[in-house]
Amino acid sequence: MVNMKRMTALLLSIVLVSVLSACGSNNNNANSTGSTNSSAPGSTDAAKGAEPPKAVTLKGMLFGDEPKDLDVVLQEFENRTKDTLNTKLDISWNSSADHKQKVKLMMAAGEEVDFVFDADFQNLRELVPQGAYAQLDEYFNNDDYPGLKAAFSEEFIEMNKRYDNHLYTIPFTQYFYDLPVVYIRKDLREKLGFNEPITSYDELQQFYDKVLSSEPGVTPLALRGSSGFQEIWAPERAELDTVRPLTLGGIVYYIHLSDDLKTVQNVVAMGDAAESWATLPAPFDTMKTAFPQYDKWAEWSKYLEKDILSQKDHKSYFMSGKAASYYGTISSYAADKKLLKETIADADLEFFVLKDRIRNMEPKAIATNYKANNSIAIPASSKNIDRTMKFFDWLFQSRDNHDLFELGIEGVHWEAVGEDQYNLLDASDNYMFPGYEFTWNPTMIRTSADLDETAKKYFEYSADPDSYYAPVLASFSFDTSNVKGEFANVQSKADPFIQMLKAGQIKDWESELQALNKELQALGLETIRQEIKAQVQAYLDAGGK
Amino acid sequence: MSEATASALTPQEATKKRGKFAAFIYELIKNKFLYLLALPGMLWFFVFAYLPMVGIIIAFQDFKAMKGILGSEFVGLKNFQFFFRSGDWIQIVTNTLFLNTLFIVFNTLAAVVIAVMVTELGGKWFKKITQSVMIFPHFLSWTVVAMFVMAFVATDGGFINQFIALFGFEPIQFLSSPGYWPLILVLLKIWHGAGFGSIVYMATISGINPDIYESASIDGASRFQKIRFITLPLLKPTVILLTILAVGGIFNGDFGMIYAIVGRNPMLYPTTDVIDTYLFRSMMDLGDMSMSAAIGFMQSLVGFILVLTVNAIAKKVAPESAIF
Repeated sequence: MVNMKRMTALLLSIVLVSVLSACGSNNNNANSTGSTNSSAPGSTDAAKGAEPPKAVTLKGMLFGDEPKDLDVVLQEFENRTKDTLNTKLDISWNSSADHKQKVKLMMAAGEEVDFVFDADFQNLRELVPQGAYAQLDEYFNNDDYPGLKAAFSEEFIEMNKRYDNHLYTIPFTQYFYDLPVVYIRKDLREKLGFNEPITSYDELQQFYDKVLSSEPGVTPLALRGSSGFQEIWAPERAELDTVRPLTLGGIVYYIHLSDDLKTVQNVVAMGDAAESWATLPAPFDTMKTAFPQYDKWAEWSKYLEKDILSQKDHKSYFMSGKAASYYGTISSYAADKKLLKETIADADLEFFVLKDRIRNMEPKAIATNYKANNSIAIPASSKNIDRTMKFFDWLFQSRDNHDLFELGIEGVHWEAVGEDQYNLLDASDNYMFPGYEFTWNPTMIRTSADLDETAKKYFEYSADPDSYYAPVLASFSFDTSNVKGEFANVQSKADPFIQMLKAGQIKDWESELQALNKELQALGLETIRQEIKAQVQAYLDAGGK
Repeated sequence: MSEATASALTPQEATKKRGKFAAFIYELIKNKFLYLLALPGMLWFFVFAYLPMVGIIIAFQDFKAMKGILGSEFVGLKNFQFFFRSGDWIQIVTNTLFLNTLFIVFNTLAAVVIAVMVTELGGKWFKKITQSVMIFPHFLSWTVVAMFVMAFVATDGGFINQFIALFGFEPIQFLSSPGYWPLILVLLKIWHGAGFGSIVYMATISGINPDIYESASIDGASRFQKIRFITLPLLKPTVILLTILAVGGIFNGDFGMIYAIVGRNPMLYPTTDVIDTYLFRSMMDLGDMSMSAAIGFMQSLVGFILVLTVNAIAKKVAPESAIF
């Protein structure tokens, strides 16, 4: 009882002190970051000594469903770190539909929160320039934060910096590219007389023809209507440094650079006149050769269901046994295989890797900008920036710490297999933590132990830094704020056409694209083109590559 | 009694002498307890319906969350441009008005018919069950309905096409033929909402004085004559009132329904794309609050003007059923 009272008194005084000190430093933002920095080494000393640092509760916002056993995990975390971090986490979980607006409003209202999930597909592009988030450069590659230093390589940090060359996020990713594949019903393939796994588009096509002729009622290939063929038939060709693609609102623009890669010569968009395309080097000098996959898509539309454009959940369609294959990415392999086996007895799943060079696991085969799609940002208004970063430092200090959050309690939710694999235990259903919002890191990947050898190899391949390369203009990102209206107009006009194109519904795509392009001209395509030109030139002038 | 007469006279005189304002104050003081009762409600409306209207200012700004409502740059009508610059807006507005008019007309017709039929039904249990069955669809979310619809209209293996195939006809590709969709949507809307909408009409009918029906029966009126000459005329004010209210929302497409059912199927946009679905699609990547607010403001404004217009018409045609 007395203890409780003391604790409460202590807590209250801490709150009071932190509020007062924050009031003092609130006048000047730059000052406050400066002062918190100087205190950082102090707190490390405290952690090393007998005295634990002051207790703090970090408030955070993530999205999705809260894992049922999160409390158990947090309790374990607090037990482990009472004497070192003395930190509690208070995470609120937004529904994924609301998260974006809620974060925006919280930042606008200046509400107190210590970390939020944010990413390019959320508010990052808008809120970073507006000064909502703290700069985090100094916490990385800093000996006071050994966990962060070890888990985030200098290049990784460098590539995740924003427009002003500062880092505003803790980037999360496991692989820099989730390999696109076509998942195939292995049992069906064998039943139809294909004894070996499919290794080329030709074989895939033969398989589809066979499905059409001998399995009535089964659709050869299931796709989502709004995404279409995506990477299927993506052209296999050597990259040209001088011609770089940029996709904006569905439209592909090619940026033509001078040979020294210092100036933008012109920007050619889908549907531009043949003369414009002719200024580009081969194979980009005609639309037919620049987008060879579009003809294939139209040809392959016979392998799709008739109502393809209305298909919202192609995976369920496949799982119900109505399709022989479906488009996906390799990260869901283990889960999908399990689901299929539970749904259809005797069924089995395998995959065909879509791109030749990746299928053959060649080095430097995957273009990437090394940007993580997901990240945590720390509001500039947070009073616990150092403590929050200390927490993430702890998280990445060891596999034990990391796996506690990503997979749950060892022996309850999962068990380790070797160095970097795991088996889920029965209780794992109670702890499905969205690692991409909080814990993912290329150095701490564990893969499911029941994956087959082929899959394991591809996972290893995509974890290997040597598989990747950064093409020219990789880290350029277009800022729409100057051309918002034009962007919205062009996108909503182009969207229906692009969607039909992607689903293989347009045979004469060349002339239809040209007609669309004329309509887009009236809606501001030219303005966007000039803005792209200006922004890329500014990016190159600033030393970007 | 004499006191009451005296005080009743005073305000009239006061109005003449001291003008309306004083009369207003006098009225407030005289009925202070009644006004006190109404105060919480008025406060509620002020705080939650009138104060937030200030936020409409962001429709005229380049709103940036960190700068706030007061700090964002004022851009005038620029946010409205985007909607009107594309030639598509005419089609989208037409679709919205066309679909909503169909919904209002057919839903009202169906609701009135259901209400009249159910009240004419005998048998207490049968009546209750029929009513419940018809109200039930209202509680199904459109997302769930969308799955039924797909099962019906799918080209491969949809119920309708299987049925057609029995007679040896070619399957109809509903999901790529926009022409069918106004009909499909109206049927769904009736199925979904007419039962629920009939509740108000049933309440009105049960409020009609039974003496009228009795005397009509004595005069030898048939069942149809009673419906034609008693029930329907007495339902008219309610029908007009509900229609005026519905017209207020005629510029707002039923996003929940259309996005759940049609989704992102571009083949069906020519007849089903309404303002709300178009806006959702074009703002999804941009997430710009100002541009969305601008369109929302325009929808409300047009809705308001239409309510006034319809009310004015109602006032001429049937003065007793106009709202104001």
